[in-house]
Amino acid sequence: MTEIDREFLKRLIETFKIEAAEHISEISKGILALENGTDDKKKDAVVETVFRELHSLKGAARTVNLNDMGTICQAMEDIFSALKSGDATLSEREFDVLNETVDTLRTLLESMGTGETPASGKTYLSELIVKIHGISEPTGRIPSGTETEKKISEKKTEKSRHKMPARKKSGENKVSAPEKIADAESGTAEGVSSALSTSSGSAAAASKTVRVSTEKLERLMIQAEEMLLIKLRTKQHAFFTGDSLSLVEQWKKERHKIYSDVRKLEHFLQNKDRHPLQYREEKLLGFLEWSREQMNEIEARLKTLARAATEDYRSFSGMIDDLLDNSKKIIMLPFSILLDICPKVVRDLSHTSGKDAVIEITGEGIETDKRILDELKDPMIHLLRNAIDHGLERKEERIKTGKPAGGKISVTVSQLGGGKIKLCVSDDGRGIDRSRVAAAAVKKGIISQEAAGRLTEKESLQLVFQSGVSTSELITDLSGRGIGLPIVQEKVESLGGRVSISTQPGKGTIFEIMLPVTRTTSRVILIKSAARTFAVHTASVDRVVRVKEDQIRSVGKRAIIPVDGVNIPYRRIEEILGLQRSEQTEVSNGLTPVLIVASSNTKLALGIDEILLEQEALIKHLGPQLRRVRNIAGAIILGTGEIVPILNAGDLVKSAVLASAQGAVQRSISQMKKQRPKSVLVVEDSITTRTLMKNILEASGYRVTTTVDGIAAYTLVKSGEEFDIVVSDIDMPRMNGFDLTRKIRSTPNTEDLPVVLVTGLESREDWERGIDAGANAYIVKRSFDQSNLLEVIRRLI
Amino acid sequence: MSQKEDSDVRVKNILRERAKKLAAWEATEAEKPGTETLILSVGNETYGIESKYIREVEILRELTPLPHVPAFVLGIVNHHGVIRSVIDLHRFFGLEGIPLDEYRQIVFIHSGMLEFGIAVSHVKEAVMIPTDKKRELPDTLKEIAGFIRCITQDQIALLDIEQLCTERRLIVYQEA
Repeated sequence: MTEIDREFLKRLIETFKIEAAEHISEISKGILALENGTDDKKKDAVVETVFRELHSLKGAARTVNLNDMGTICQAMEDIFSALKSGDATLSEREFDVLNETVDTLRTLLESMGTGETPASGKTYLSELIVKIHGISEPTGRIPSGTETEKKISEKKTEKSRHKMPARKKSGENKVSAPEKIADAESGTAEGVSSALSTSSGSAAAASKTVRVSTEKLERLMIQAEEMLLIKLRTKQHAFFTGDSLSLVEQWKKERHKIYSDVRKLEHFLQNKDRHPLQYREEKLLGFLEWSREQMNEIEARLKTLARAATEDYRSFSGMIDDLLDNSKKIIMLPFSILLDICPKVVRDLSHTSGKDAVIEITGEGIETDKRILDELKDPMIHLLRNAIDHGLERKEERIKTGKPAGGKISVTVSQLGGGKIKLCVSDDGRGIDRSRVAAAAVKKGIISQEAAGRLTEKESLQLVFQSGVSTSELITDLSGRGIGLPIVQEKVESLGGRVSISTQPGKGTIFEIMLPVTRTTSRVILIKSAARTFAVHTASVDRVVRVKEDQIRSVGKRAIIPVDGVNIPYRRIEEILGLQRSEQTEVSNGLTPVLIVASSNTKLALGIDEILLEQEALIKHLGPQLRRVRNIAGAIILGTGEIVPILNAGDLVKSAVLASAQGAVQRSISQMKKQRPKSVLVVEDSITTRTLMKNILEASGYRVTTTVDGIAAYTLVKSGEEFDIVVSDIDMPRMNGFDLTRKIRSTPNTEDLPVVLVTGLESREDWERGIDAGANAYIVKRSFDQSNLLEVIRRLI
Repeated sequence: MSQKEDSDVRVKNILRERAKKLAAWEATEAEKPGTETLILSVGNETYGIESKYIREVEILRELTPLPHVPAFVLGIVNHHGVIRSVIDLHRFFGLEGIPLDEYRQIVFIHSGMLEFGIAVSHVKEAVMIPTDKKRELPDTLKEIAGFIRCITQDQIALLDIEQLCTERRLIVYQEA
């Protein structure tokens, strides 16, 4: 066991202890409730609860190699399983055994890590297990229990009625302890304090912390965030009343100008020498005077209102900022919540892929918003998979190139200034071959061959973030489908962060993720173009420049502008979004405002009509019907109630920088291809599987031909019948899947025909044989469900 | 495909199956007493939507259009601090859409996980509709038959909201 392993196990045990204590307490409560007697309805619920707790405890215990505890739980589980299915009850003596068992579980837990075996010893345990098994034996012993139970149920106290253990809402029983923490699934109390408290159950720690479910905290957080809208609205109100006041002042100014004339008119009218004042004239003068007074009153009131509104805005803004700040602090957790799962992930992945890898983690104590950590879980696993599957070389290859046999993956968290955090995931593997990335992108039809040739090194590296681009030769259940990195990028950017990648052939690859410390309020820049308002995350805007039209140059078909000596691709926002550019906005001084937008390693100069302002905003989803809209990341609500769509910087850069290189021809060809239904050859000896696959594939619009073995399949393929893909079993009579694949590869005209091997064999060797034979994908039947197969086929043809 | 997505797909399939079953059950249930239904018009057509699917009816004030979305997505609105998309039923059905300014109201629909608004010209009334008197769909509605539960005597086309909400095409998911 390495040092890291030991350390990991120690942490795992700490976590387990907290969890197990909870389970045991629930089990104990449940058993007591049953013993005291509950009515039938409740009884079922209690039995179910105890059963689930036992199951969870068993799983958790096995994760930390506490096999004794696992065995005991299993035995008890059997009893409760029997109780669940039948109407069996337990005798008093049997309850004694159960209670004794619970005590033993406690003893086992307490003695954990102390190096001592519980006083009772091994013999005791095995005796106990025999005793427990005695209970679960299905016999007619049950009636004797009913009597006891009846007796007890007569004495049923009020207390026992409340004995129903408050079961936490949790459907997951099988997750192991560390995963559970990392998940910090909503709804359970696994959260802040359980994850943070290092000494389990210590009374001192308990008095200083309170357990609150993360779900509750998150709801509170969301409500606090919603307050931002109030803040924005009070600001709007203050502005609006101030604006109204200035209207009155304007009126006063104008009135002042004609004041002397009005006076003269009054004098004239009131000149009794001329003629007596007419009734109408009197009315008119009265109205003028009344208007003046009225306006003065309005002014006075507006002044009060404006003052109050400004005051409100100030105090609201202060209070809401504090509220947000404090709420954010509540849900700040250390990165270890996320990173504790990494060693296990690395261990499991390196095991499956047959590579040696160690992981080194630093900076896990740095804290950040829990929701950021939650969101980072998927990206983190993708990056680790990526590092192990694509980054690290095989042992032999590493030794050949003079590297240590075991690969190293480093995960480093560091705090940067300005509320930013950097998360680095690096490996010391082979690095990324840019030309292969570009080739993969061409193959997927993402860019044209010609365009690929024009890409800079940076741009071609950038292609790894494109969906469907993978340099892996083989699609497996683990990786190779080219969807991991796009997910990483999307998640990170949705958090207001950025991911960048650098690689050195032969030395390794580094993924750098820059993140804000807290999630909540993002700042956005409001812009105007095509007579519409859009928002852009301030975080994704590098800078704002103003350029003269003649600074925009064109290189080939691409427009560029030089910024600080670097040429940046330039696009008008209307072009990207497919909008009509508005005519009237001819910029006065001939300068076009340009946002330099950055995503991953790539920058884009975005020409717009006008920059309005920068402000904080709460980003909202577009609702369930609009799951994802290209170039739009969400929307914000302004203080006025107006909705403004937020541009998705990642999409903009992708569609602008790469799509400009994308041949229109490429698209129409792939569209033409789509007209004809794709043809699939299914090779499978089992009639059931064959029929199933045929149905699945035909339901998805494929034309399906089936054959029973490799020879038959090969004959068909060689006969010149056109297939777009072959899906084959491995174990078949006459010619197996490997041989079929090899045959297909070595036959002219079919060497590029995609082959998917579907198999019940799940071993490293077979996987490798699959690669050697030249299969494009290898799906294990165990994990074979139709969406997986269809997904793989879609990717390949 | 990540595990999460895998399970997402599974969950979706289950939900779809469930929705189908529930819808089927509803249809038979609705035979007997009649169902409370909101009658509304889109252009010259009259539709009915069962009240249980309706969250709220609001006057259509401001609609923020989005670039790139399919034509049937008219835009997004602020619905009590939440963003909701508003769809054009006719454009979704592939019928000719009516001019935007003829849409006066939004009917907010909810079904399962989905929530969105349907733009309508006019909400008329809520009535109890006995659904036992089914009629042949008129030719003008043939192509949208899948989304119509039945036509009442008064030529009201009862929308099958479950069917609508389980229609894959309704969900906009655009890759970068």
